[in-house]
Amino acid sequence: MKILKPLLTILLTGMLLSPLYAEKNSVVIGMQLEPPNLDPTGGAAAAIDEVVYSNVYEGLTRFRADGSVTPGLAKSWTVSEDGLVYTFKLQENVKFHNGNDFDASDVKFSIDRARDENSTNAQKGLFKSISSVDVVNSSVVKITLSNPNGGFIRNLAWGDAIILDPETVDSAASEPNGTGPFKFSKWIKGDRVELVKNNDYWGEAIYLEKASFKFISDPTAAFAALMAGDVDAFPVYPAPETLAQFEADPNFNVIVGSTEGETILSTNNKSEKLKDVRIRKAIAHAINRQAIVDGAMFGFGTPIGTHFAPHHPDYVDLTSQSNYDPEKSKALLSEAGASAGLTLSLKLPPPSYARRGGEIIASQLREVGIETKIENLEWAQWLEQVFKGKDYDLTIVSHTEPMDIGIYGNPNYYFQYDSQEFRNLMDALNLETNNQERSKILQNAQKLIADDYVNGYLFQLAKTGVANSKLIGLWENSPTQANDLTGVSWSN
Amino acid sequence: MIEIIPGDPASFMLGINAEPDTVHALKKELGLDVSKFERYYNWITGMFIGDFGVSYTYRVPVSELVMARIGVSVPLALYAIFLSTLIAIPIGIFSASNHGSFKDWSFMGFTQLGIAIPNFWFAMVLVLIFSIYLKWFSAGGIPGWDKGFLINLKALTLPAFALALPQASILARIMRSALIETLSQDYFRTARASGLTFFQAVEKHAFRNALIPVLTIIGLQFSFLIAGAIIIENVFFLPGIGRLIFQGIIQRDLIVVESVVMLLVFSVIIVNFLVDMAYLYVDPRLRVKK
Amino acid sequence: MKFPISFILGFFLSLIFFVITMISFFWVPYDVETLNIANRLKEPSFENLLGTDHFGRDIFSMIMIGGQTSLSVALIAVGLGLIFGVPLGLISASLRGSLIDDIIMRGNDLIFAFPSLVIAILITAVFGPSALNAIIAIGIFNIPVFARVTRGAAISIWTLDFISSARIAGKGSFRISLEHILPNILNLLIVQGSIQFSLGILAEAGLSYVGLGVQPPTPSWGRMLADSQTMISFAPNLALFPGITIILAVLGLNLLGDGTRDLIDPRSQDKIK
Repeated sequence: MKILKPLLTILLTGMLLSPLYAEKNSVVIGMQLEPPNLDPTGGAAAAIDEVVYSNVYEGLTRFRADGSVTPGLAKSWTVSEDGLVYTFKLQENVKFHNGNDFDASDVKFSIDRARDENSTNAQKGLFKSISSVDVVNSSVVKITLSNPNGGFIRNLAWGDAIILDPETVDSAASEPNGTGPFKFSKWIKGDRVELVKNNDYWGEAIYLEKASFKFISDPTAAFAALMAGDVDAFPVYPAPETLAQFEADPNFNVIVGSTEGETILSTNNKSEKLKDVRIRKAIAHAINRQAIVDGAMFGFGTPIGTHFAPHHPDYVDLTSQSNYDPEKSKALLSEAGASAGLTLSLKLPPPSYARRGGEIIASQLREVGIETKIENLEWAQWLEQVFKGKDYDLTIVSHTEPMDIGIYGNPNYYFQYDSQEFRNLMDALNLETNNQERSKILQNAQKLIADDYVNGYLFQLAKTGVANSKLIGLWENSPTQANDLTGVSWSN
Repeated sequence: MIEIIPGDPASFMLGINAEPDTVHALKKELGLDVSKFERYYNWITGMFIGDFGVSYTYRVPVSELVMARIGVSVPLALYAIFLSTLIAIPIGIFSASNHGSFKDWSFMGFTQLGIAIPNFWFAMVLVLIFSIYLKWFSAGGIPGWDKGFLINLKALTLPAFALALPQASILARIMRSALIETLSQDYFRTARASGLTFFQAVEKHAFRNALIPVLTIIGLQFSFLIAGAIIIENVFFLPGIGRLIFQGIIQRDLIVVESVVMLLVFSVIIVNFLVDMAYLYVDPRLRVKK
Repeated sequence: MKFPISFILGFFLSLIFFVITMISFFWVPYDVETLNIANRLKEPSFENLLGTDHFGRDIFSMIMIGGQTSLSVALIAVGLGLIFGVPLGLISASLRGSLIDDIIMRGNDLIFAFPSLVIAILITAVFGPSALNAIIAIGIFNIPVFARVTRGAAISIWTLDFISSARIAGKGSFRISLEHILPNILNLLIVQGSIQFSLGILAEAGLSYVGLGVQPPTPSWGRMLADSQTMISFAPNLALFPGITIILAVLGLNLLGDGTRDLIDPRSQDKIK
């Protein structure tokens, strides 16, 4: 017992003195979800792209912070008259992190692998229009399409279309080997991924020497980690209720941007109780969007009236078509013969927009006489019951893929919206290359799904991030889910 | 048993825009296309040769995942036990020696409070005070043992304390009643009468006897601390065993869940065995029995 | 008869908890299922005794109704433990040393060896979250507790003289267990029951904290803590009051259990003075 006391004193003082440096050329980025693996071509988890996109891996083209698409590993390209043949000229003197040279055969390999029958690429649809990929010479690749696709260059910018080294493809899930400005260093599972600067990078040199991504799933822990300085930035910060506090603190910057996430009250259109459009319309009028944005997101988010991002030039504001009008809602319900007792299941996935939004919607629906039975589900349960099993009436989900209105053309998609008219519009869109005509079709599609009250359209998810106020160059918006660190640096 | 959980890891990994043939391709790659029975058989037989299988989501061997996490969970549990013993034994001795007094009452009141506080709530309050306001400790995470011993110990202090408080309260109460029991024994009175001071008498005679029930509780606590730390690991974002199993359940990485549960059950048995051995050390009388 | 302080304190705390919960069946200050976003995050005042939460609900009303959840989940879980655990313990004691006794006791050890929270999470992963599954998850782990306590106490009674005379009178093990053993260990079971009851409240709070208990909009203390913990730095009352409620309820029942034990068996209270 006697040696205990000095021992303790040493331990305690040692602990208090151990310094917490913040080296000025490294950064710690907080993320809520840990990626299941680090291969963006083998999983849909946004967290994969949030670590490796543009940092470790690059594609032929890439997204920029403003949503535009610029050249990546492809220096330039030409398109044939009929819109079917794309010829890409590649960057030269590019090396993978393991020292292998990058050339046209890697491009052919990666794209053929992604569109292969046995491919586990989560976004195979991106490559659907490709009929062949041919190597012209080591720095020129020719991609031939089976039908014109106005969005093809954009498709190639997705994380799912990055270029891998054929030699290391088997270990891509745990040890990514790309061409980007950062090299993979280590992954402590359940805790963090570390990247270090790639000194042989072919492009513009970056500022940071080291970057870590730390995974903190609990919103309270995320708040505490920022406040205590354990992480320098949390680009997709999960607790909007605390943003006011960060805003008031000069040590932090709150970054509010837009995402591609249309948050909707997804409705099972084949459910006995909901197949009548009047009932769906009644639900739409029973919902007070502003109250949801205020209550669930603490004011962050833009109300939407259809499934389309408000910052997109082709967006049509249709919110007034389903304005908050409980009386009208009640009238519609009695017209549909459902004024007395309608009970709907409301299955909610984990994100707070869904859990909180669900409680608010339940309360709003009760006002017009619709009872709901809330069930909080984990993602796996949600995928099984709602998404695959279609065993639900209502659910709340944010659809974060860019330009994903096409999902309404699939009658087997979980909201089971079956409209030939809509499918015709999508077919026309895929064949159309004239931009003006395209935007006309897109606007008609937005109006059609609003008229059919397919889902309750709630709000566009805002990207709310918090960062140390000395950290500059983080993306404000989310044209794709990524934490592009190439332009990030510390100011003094 | 666990294989019957609805939901499959492949659709979890591919998300909501995946096409059915992609999901199927991934299932084939992960070996999920065979029957549940066959998968279970493969896992059981694999375990006998020390092969727990490969995690569906991380795609690395389960044993590798577990080994990495043990480096957090075991130190955390040991630290928590160390702290709880450090708090409990003095309180137990003090209370027992002042048995029935106001001091005893107030200490026992505190231990009642310690048992009643939900540890996740206590953890939140600790973070609020020591990380956010005072900034003495970081709010969570662990730097990794390659960065030095003290810095990691410091990182584990708040979570260990949050875990230790209810355990310390239970331990202190047991220590107290075990001591009271021995203090009333004749040999203790004899020792006092022979001129030893109260604390000398406790140290020489009563302490060892009181240690038996205390050891039992510590043994029980150890296994609880390994698995029961799920919530605390979440609050402090520590990559421990509890988090691994929780994530495994959420992501339907069932091979991880099965393996960790088996491992935990096994560790409970081992710890119980060690506690039995410790009895022999503490109480020599048990040694001669056979 | 002198009541121990712990008994008096525990009795009154438990009584308050019980009475408030009972009142909530008939009356609460505000409806907790209607949200009023405009009225959110109000500090404690005369209108809202403990303030309002992030949806503008009255925290005091939520705590009152949350008591129903805690009370019923914990009570039924203890009931489950009693119904299965006590007979198992009695059987074990009457057949002590036999194979059946061994099987029952090793079964107990097995359940104890499984991490309870993990099993609770697994149960909800299979059947989905609900109050019923929370009850089952908590109840299962009550069974071995009661079985063990019952067996221990019953065995010491089996050795007493009056049991031998009952034996001689021709009573079978079953009748002896029911007529002589059970009444004599009832006190102990009540004490253990009140302790398990308080542990059940803590467990329910823990389960609904991780989202596995009753589903919204039904309030529960654990979920109130989970929902409000990100706001603890600017609206501490949201997390503070449900936390204190849990502590007081658990404290009350623990003290009541301890106090009752002291009352029944004064020996355990003060052996030396």
